[in-house]
Amino acid sequence: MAAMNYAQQGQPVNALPDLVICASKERIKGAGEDAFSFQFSVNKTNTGYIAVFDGCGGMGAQKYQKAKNFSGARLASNIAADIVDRFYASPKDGFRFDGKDAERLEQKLKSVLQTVKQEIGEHSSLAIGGDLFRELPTTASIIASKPGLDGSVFCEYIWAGDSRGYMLNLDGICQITEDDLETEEDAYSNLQSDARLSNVVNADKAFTLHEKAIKLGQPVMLITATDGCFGYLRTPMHFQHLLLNTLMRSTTEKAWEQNLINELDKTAGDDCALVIAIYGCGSFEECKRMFMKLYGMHNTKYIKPLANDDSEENAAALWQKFKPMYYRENVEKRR
Amino acid sequence: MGSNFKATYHVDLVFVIDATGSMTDLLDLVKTNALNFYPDLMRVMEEKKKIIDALRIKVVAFRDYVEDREDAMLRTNFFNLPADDMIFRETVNSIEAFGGGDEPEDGLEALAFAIRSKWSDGGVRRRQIIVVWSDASTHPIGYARGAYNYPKTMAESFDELTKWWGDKKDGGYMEDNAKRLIMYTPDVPGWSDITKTWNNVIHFMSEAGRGLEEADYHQIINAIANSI
Repeated sequence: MAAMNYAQQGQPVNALPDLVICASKERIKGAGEDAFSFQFSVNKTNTGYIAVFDGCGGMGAQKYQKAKNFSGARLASNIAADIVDRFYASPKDGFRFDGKDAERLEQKLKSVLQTVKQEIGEHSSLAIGGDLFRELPTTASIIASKPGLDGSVFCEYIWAGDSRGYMLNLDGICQITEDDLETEEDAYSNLQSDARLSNVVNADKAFTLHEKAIKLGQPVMLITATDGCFGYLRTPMHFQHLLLNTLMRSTTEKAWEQNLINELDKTAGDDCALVIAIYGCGSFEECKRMFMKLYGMHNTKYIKPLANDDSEENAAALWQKFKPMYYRENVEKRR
Repeated sequence: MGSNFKATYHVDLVFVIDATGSMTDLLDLVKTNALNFYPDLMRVMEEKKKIIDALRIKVVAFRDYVEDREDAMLRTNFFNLPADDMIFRETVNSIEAFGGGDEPEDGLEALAFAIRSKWSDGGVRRRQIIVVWSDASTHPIGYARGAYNYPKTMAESFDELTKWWGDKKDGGYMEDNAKRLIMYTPDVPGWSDITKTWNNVIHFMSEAGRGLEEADYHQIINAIANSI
């Protein structure tokens, strides 16, 4: 996916993101269960969205003969991406930033997935039951955004499951979404616990799309990512490092995308999808310049000490130091 | 990138196999699947570029304490694969279908033994997976309590067995995040009660007496691979 520089396409500065970066990787070619979508348009009052979806392979292993024998997981993530795309583009829908976007989108997802389930429902010879089984299950992490007149960006983070929405500004990364997990975990403990999901988009059981609205200053990176991007790293600090290290090593947006893909390919034990929308940088070069200091500080404070002493004790201690910053927009998690 | 960290996986699998007479037509295929399980799972994991650092398989073959007495339950320790492949193959191949008496069997006792396995506590991430193959319903647990060789440390009731399995609030004998129960059985008493009440369960509902089709087997392999 080629990066897009909207500012260079003649749009008003700050009306749309300066850059949109996408990196995705299928573990098995042609059988990937992650999907992404994004759109920004001046014709939609400068609103736009970025989104990722992670079809749940364990819950959705069922193959559907009427749908090219694809798994429920693969179908679900791609269908959900398409639904959100249509939701944004539809004149009667679209993101209204009225606190009810998640509710409207949830209804749309339920209705379309149930229809699809009925159409392709004649699956294999085996009926499947149990709480681990879902029809067409997928996570979702969507960030709808709209620049304000005061130089801020108004964002709606909408999600279900453990795909995440972050923001990264000059203070560092911050997870805005809260993972839907069966057990109480934070971003560090769950790297080991790998807890089960308690809420996913699906066609047969109740689910909730959560919503959190937040006003952010510029420059800022809005980030949506499936767990393949962050779930196989040593610590949550390494996710910020991955983003900024690949940025600093790149000379163009395309090179950044490729470096992200290469790094994710090395670390991820799963399919992965990542979309980043950047406001307030103007250009790729300026973006690099702006985040260079943070990159250096983060490297000195967290990454090098962990490279020198990779013990659990040191990793846990550094995480405790990083955690308040990481959850700074999330009061409950900060406790 | 500042870290050579790689998430390591330790996977323990317990195969719970109904070895009663009614399984005669099905058992050869179950055994073939059990034996192919290791290479097939590793192949799928390799395709996904996920590495299982340690994989162990244990076998529990069950019949009926009242009818089959000393042949009622075969239990092994965990085999480390691929190192113990030869002895694992010999064990699986030695299972024969006979006995069982009436249609319900002592599957819940076999499942109890599986739950109380000595699970690995190594690796960054773990999976503790029990796979059940049966074509029959189960007796209520404790039905054969009068048999001379009925285990003394068995769960007293289905409720106690449920506690052994545990849930997210009260951990049982397995790690709640790591455990998975995959059943390839009919939707009949015993197994269906589990499906209704236990967490971390996926139940492939076979028709009693129907063989395991190739597509079913691949679906089960994929369900396991995708849960790791």
